[in-house]
Amino acid sequence: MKKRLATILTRQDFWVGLAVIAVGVAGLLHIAYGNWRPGPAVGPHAFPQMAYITLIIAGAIIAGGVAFGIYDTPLDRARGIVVTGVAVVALGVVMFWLARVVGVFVSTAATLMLAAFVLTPDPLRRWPSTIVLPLVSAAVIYGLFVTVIGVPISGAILF
Amino acid sequence: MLESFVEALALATDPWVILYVSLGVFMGVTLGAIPGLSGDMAIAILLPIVFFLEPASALGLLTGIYKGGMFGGSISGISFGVPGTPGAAATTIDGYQAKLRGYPNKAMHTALYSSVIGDTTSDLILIFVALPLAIVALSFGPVEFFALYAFALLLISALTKGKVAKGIAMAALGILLAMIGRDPIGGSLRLTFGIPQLAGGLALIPVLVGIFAVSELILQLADAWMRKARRIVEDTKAKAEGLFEDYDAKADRLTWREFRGTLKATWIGTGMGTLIGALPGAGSSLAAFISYGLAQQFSRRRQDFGKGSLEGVAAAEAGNSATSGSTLIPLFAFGIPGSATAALFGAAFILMGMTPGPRLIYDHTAIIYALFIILIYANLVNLAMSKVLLPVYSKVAMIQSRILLPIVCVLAIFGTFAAGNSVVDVWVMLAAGLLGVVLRIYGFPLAPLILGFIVGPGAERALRQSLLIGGGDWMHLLSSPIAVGLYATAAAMILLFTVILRDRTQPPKPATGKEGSP
Repeated sequence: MKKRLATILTRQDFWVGLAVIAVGVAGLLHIAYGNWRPGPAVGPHAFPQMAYITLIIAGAIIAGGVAFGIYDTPLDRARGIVVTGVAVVALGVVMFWLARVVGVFVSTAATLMLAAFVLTPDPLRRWPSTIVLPLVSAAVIYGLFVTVIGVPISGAILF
Repeated sequence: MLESFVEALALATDPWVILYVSLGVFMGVTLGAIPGLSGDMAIAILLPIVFFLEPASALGLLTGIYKGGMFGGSISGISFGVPGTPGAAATTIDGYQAKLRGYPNKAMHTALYSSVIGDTTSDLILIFVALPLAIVALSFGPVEFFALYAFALLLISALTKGKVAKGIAMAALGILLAMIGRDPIGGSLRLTFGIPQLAGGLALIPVLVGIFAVSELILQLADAWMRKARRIVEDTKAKAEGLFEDYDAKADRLTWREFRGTLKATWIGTGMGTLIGALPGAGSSLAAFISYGLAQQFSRRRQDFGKGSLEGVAAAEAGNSATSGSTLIPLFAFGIPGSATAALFGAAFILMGMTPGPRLIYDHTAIIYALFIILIYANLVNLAMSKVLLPVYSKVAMIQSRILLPIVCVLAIFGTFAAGNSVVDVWVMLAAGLLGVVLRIYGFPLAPLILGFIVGPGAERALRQSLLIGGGDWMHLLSSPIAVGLYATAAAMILLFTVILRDRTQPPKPATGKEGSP
């Protein structure tokens, strides 16, 4: 019994289920003690409340399923994916901020070149895809969004 | 009626619309052929462009991408054993074996013809079924509509990748995301946590692009970064070079007799694909595998399946493509997107000022009829273009994803900003992308989340109206026989698909198959 419990505790889906339950409980507490207005028959809290209860039940099934051998195998590349995700989001934020400072063309070209250099082995030898292609792509993106569509990204000092 | 049809014909055959359909097919097949990129991703990224096009042109572009992407996925599956889209995984089983045995051209042509037959039939079913169903839906009250929303949510949660509890949790999360902002009845703020920018709620485009496209891009970039994608391509390239040393191109032409031999499998795939496509959540992947399994059962040469059988290619590809028209039936008839693609089309309608649902056909008759015409002739464009460009497309599948992914990422960011000229939308999209990544890592299906996000407000309105009519009595939700029937049907179908059919249609593993997402 102790061994079985120890095995369950090592399964990722057990903790995933608990996390889902925690979200549901936090939501119900927010509805109970937060600033929610009452409404006629069922107020604005009724549907979110149903969703939170559903989350708790689903979380219990996910966590409980581990005891019956129903669980997903963790991804071996999860850490790499998370790191890439954070890097992509950070790069996206920086690129968008730069677009408003130095212009769409420069920020896009710089971002694409950086990405190409990071992803391409021996990037200088493959200069057409790491230097020329980002410049051409940036020009096309500038043409599409700034010239054709006219997105209001102001404050550009270059283009 | 006739007047609307003439107007629709004029809209659909406008040279610009034809051009956009052709461009869409080209983009769809090209992106579908590249492992990791798909038609759905292209539709999600191009949604903001919908704002700037005429409705018929926009729908033509999206339809072309969708249809092209359906077939495109099988090109890299047959060429390199790497399905370009999850829906093409079943085609890869026999398609790649056919290539290894020296007849890739036959396999690709079989896939193309089956895809077009399945797709066209499915479109015709959509055209003839959506209108009568919409008439039925017009008589629905809030009790029936709430049951219908619950039916769709339950079914899509249960059938997506067979993860019932995780699917239901995602549907609930999608509903909660849709609840952010003002309460549609009382007007009070909900779930904004004091952030004023959230008072208007989350916009559809950033959530869709973030959850679907950005999260997938991040996974693909992670792969490229870890050089896994490169290894796969180099491996398949080496195999291809070795294999084609004694390749006889003349012998690798699909004869009429061979094509006729695949027709039974094609029709089995078409029937199953159309049926399964109409069910919310079942998806093209499941349709393709069930069609493959059934065609094997009814084949005289069932021992050839898994060894390069053209029947296997035909059944899987027809099953995959036949979901394309029928998956739009719930959207047109009830306003409920039955799949990720239908959700994207629903979003496009909303962006063009058209509300998906039973009134859609009546309020925008000319545009919807034009879409029906486009759906049919886009298949012919797909057939002609793919047939001519097949040799080129098989090379397109070799384009390194490391080159394309950053460009697609930048397009997603500027496209989302262009849709609403809102910086908050960009942050929401990036946050949704990260959320999508985390959910994918922990094995949560994303389609129920999107369905919950889209139908959440409608379901809430229907629930609260039902309870107001019923004086707050929850049993009022069971007062309609149609509603009870829908709940019972949902339960029966979940049981059928998760317990009975899944066990019977477990597919054999493809030789070197790889799904685009975990």
